[in-house]
Amino acid sequence: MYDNEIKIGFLEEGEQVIEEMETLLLDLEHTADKKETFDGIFRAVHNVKGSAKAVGFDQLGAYCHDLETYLLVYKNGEKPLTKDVINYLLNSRDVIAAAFATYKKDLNAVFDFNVGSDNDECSDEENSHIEMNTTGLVVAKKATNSNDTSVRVNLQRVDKLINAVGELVVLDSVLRQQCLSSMDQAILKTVEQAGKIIREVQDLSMSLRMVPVKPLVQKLQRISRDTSSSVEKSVDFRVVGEDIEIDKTILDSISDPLVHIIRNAIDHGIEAPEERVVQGKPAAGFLELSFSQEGGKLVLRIKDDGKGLDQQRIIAKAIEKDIITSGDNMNESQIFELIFAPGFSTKAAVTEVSGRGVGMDVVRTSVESLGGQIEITSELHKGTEFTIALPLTVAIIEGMVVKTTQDNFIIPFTQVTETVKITDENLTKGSESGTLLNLRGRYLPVYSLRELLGDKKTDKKNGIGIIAKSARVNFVVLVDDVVGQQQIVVKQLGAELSGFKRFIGSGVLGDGKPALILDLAQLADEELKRVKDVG
Amino acid sequence: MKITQKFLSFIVGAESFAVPLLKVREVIGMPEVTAIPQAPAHVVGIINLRGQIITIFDLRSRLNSSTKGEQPTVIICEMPFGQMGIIVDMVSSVLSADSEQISEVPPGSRAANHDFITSIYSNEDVLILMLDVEKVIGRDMRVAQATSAA
Repeated sequence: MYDNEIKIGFLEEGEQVIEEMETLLLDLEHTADKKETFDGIFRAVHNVKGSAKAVGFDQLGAYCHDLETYLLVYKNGEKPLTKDVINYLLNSRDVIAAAFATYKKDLNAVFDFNVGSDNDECSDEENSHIEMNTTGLVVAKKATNSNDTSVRVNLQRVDKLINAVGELVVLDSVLRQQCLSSMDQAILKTVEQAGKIIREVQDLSMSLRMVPVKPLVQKLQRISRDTSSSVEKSVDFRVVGEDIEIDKTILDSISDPLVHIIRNAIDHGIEAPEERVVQGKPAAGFLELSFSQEGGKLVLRIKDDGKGLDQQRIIAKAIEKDIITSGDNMNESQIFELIFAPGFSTKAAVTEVSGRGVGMDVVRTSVESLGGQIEITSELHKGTEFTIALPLTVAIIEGMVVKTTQDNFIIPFTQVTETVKITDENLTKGSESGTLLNLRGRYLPVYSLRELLGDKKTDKKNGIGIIAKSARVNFVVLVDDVVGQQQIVVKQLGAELSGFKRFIGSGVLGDGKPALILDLAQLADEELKRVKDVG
Repeated sequence: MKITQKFLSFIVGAESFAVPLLKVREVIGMPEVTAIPQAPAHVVGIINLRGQIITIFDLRSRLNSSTKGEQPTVIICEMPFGQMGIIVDMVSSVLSADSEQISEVPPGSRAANHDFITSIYSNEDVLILMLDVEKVIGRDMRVAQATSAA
């Protein structure tokens, strides 16, 4: 009997190999040095074959053997590499990947390798010769792998570490304050040094959450390729800044929205080749995904040179779907916003490619739940660009500490547009209009944070107004004072408080007291609902 | 065979209660609490316990006891969904109870109305009510959700 642990180990290692193989296959179309890339593919197949046989996946071994035989012809340059060949190889890779997935579920599963190899031309002699050759390569490859020293760590453990370090940072600031009264130079110096190291440890621990975007990019490249060939369009998909590292949680949650936007761009945005030629555009559509860091934010841009968004069609569709009643008085960005409305989809026919029931509204919800924003710019017949701005990490937020009755609350900076000083004079009050603030000629509704949090007795109208934006409206939240700002390590509230949607979580303030993190948009929504119910 | 279980006994108002010791993580003095606006009265708030944020419940108001002990104490309990603190008037002792000392709640008694009282420990003239902390708090979870939905 073969040892199950060895099998599991093989599956884990092998998955990386076949992932690598996919990158190589995709590269094969563009790269100048086809020989080296092809050798890499051959090595990957050979690797899987050898290990599969060794641990007892004989079927998989046999399949890889056949694939290897098929590859050999092209490796030796006996036949030219065509797109069909690459397609065939990509398919074979998928078969292997599917086999891996099946084995992962059940180590003794029987997988149907019903994709035959049509090539048995090589003689055994030649075959063994190549195998001897490649054995050397496999060994060489292993040697380079061992240089890549990395450890897989559970994300929960990393989060625990970040939590503990966050606490250390708070304690450090408390210690510093206590030291101010101390005159002992030696102690002050040591505290200073310890503080420096603590900050370094904090940076290091935060960086543990960061993962490269490469695997995601690779997945998207594959999706772009598959999508464009299934809708018979030709797309030149480029990725800029793929060397960036981003927070693991953000990477995981941004994957589906990106897939959706890219599918949409290829399916709906980019025109068919004939149409493009008529319009004087190159036959191949241009699609670019870029990652960049701008001003403490991670910015993703997805840009195509397709037909762009048709404002008239969007309005017509929105009216048809009862999202709006009329498109009058709407500016460009308001119209583009409509495509994020639930139940909106511009293509009448649901296609296999981008009609999976996941609408653009889900894209926006995912982005906003990460504390990010999404914007569209588009020009008819020129193309569309989506800009997604995300915080660099979700574990730590930049927060504004505000004061109300007795306890302090935290408002994430991402929700705050600006703050203004509010006195009775710049407010208008009416029994029907409620309290409004005149902000540079625009009237915004004012909610008192005390009232939002259920303190009915208050009629205090002086303080600081925080201009915030929810999906629908801009509004002002009145707080007694802004105490300060600090980085907050976000901690989830316990399950017993999960019913309170208005609190995103909690954090520890500089004085060691816990404080709740507010979701202003949610608070305003709840208030609006309450007012509606009463009225 | 005699089965001995350990419990932590404490006092709320005029009565003694106990929870299984295995559920107790630690006992701390009353910490500084941040209140949660619009939460039910017995949800006291959240505390920072060495970097962990823990919700604190007041068992006294849960059990309709109006007394406020001079030195309230928080018992941090380990729950399937995380840690939780309950405020009691005073912690008495660790109790080793044999299985024959634990009996079921007398039907028809007031205690039988509360599903969070699981059984009764009696030894000579001592009577202690055994609490199921999860049930006590489970009710609050539903209350919290209902409040928020309203």
